[in-house]
Amino acid sequence: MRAKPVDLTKILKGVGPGWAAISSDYKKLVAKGKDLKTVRLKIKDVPAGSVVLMPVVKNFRNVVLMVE
Amino acid sequence: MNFPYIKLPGLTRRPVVPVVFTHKQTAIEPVMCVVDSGADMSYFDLDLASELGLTVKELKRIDSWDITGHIFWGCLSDVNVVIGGHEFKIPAIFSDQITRPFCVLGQEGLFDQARITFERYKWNIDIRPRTDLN
Repeated sequence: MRAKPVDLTKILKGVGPGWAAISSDYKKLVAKGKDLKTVRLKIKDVPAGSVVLMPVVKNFRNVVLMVE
Repeated sequence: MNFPYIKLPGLTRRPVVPVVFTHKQTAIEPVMCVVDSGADMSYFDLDLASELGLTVKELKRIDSWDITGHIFWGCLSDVNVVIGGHEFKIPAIFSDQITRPFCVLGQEGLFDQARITFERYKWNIDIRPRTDLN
C-alpha cells in the first residue's frame, strides 16, 4: 500500500540550524533548539510516540558519503 | 513497512524514515534518517551518541571521506535501530564533523539485513526484514 505523501516545507521553513521535534503525524513543529539535548529537554513531557526528531539546516542539500 | 518520501525545504522529496535508537536500557524518540544507498556506512550526529549513553572517548575513531574528498573523523559503534517495528543491529559512525541536514542510514549492516525497495516513482520506500535469514 502506498504511503501518504508528507510535505515538511512549511513547518520547517526558517527553522535551524539545529534540531527540531515534529509531531508524529508531521503536521506541526513541536519544539526546536540548537542541539539534540535542548530539544529533548523541551519535549520531556510530551507523550511517548507523539513526536519525531530531526536535524535541520537552513538549506537542505544533497549528501553522498563514503568511507574506507 | 512502507514509508512516504518526505518533501523538505529547498529539496525534492527524499526517502526519510523514522528510526528509534536503542542502547542498553536507553531509547530515544524516533529520529528522521535518510536511507542512502550511496553511503557505505550510517552517519549520525555525535549528540545522538551522547544521548544514547555511549561513551564517546571509548569508541574507535575512524576516518571518512565525503564526495569532494574532504576527510572527517567519527566514532564507530554498533547501534540498535528500530525501523517500522523491526530491530536491526548496524555499525554506525557518530561525528560532529558533518555539515549535513540528515542522519544517514547507509549500506553496511542495514542493507544486509533488510529488503529495501526504493519506489521513487510512487514516492514510497519499503523496508522490511529479509525473510531468508534465521
